[in-house]
Amino acid sequence: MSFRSVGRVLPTKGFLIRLRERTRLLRSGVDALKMKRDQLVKESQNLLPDLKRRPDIEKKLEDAYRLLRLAYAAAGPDEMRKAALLTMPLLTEMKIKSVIGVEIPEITMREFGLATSPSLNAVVIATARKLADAIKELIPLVNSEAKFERLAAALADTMRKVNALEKIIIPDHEAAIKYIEEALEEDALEEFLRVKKYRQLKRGE
Amino acid sequence: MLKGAKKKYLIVRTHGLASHLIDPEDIRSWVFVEDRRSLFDQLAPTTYGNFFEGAEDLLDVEKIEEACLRVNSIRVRALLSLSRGTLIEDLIRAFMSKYDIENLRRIVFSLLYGRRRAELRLLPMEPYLLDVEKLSKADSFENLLEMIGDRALAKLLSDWLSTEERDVTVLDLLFDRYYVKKLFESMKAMKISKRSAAGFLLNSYVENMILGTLLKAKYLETPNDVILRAFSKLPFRKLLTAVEKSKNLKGFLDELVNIAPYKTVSIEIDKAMKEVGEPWVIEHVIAKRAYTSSLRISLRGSMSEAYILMYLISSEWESQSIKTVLLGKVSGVNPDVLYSLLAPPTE
Repeated sequence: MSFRSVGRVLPTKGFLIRLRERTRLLRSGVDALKMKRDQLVKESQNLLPDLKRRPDIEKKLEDAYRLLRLAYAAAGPDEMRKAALLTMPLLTEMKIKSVIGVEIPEITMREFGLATSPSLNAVVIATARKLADAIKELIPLVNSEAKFERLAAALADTMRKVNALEKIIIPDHEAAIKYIEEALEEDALEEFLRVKKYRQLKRGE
Repeated sequence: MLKGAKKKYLIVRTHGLASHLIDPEDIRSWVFVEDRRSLFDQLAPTTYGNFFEGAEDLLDVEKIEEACLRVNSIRVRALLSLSRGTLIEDLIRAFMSKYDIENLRRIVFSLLYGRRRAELRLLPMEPYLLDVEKLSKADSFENLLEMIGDRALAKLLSDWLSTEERDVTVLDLLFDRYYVKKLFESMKAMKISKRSAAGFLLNSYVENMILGTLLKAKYLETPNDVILRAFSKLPFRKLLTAVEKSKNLKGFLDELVNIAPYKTVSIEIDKAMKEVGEPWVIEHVIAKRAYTSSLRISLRGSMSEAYILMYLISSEWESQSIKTVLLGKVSGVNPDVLYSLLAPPTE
């Protein structure tokens, strides 16, 4: 006899003991996975206020680009090149953090220098400031979004595992255990009858 | 009145040159020209037309910027060749040295943040007092200081470099002070009285320039002591008192609105801040004010150096207006917004 998730089943006492052990282990695995699932849900929920900030940041970027258009008209690209001389390139550092066993990338700004001077056109100063502010807010949001995506993927994976264990693997194991128990019981009964018959024959009844 | 025949000839020629300036009302009307071909037809007969081969060139932002600067440069060159050997040449050079200073500023910025020379773009103006082309080859501040011939300028830069912060705002204020000093020295050398039309005009021009810098310094929340240290010796008491009394741009505008000559400026900038949230119109408001003041003052001395200065200021405003119209069209800015940038201030 074979069960899909258990493989070939031997109706022996040794196999039954091993199967019961394995089922116990699977149940405790389900409990652990459920705890992980709950923790992942909690972590994801904690990110929701951060994720809700996206429309605000998009609005800020929109404003910055609108101002950039005005800057282009009022100051020209040459003035923007001059402003670029005053900036230091945006340097970021990416680290991988582990949250409940899920690897999460985290970007931190290492260097972001934006010096402004009164010799720059006011509209260029305003645009540079708006864009810098938006980028500063965008990076934590990007971190939160990346974290949320990874957590969501891990959550889906955990749920799939819990479902598979609860709906397929553990029932299969239980069925296999039941099958072995029945088979062993039948064997025991048969053995009992055989012994009884043998005793009767020996007594000459 | 000018005594020398050469000076009179120069002023008469300037009247002639000024007649080639484009009427600001015409430039403002171009804001509403939708067809690029028609706009090109309007520009073609002007001095700017020489820089554009066809209507499609009006989409080339590099060409637009270069044309606007070059036209100005060509006009100044004509004036310089007419005034060669006179004190007016020195005055024009001192006035135009703001472009040298602007280029020097860019050189300093590029050295300060270690930008490669390829990223440094100088304004395509000829040198008036400083050989900026030579200075741009400096690869370190030491090198740059050695190359600067003007002692006062070299000292200013060296003092700034010795400060720990190397704050670019401070450097900008110092450069402005240096430029103003140069202009006033040139005025003194020409024995231009403060009460003459040219004296009034120069004073008004400098006042506008300083006002623009102060507005931006306030916008950048530069501490008052930094501003006052740089500008304390300038003769604009009311402006400096307003700086002292205010903490930020909003406060500064509130102070200015109570000072009659600055009321319009304050209102215009405040309006822009309410509409867009940023004081993005400062340059245009100031340039417009400088232009209208120069026109008004030059009427008092149409046969004096004031007229030459008015011509220089008008030419700059014309270039700036054309640049605004053309770049505004390229970037799709609403024509009404462009018009309001160029429209004369309403008293």
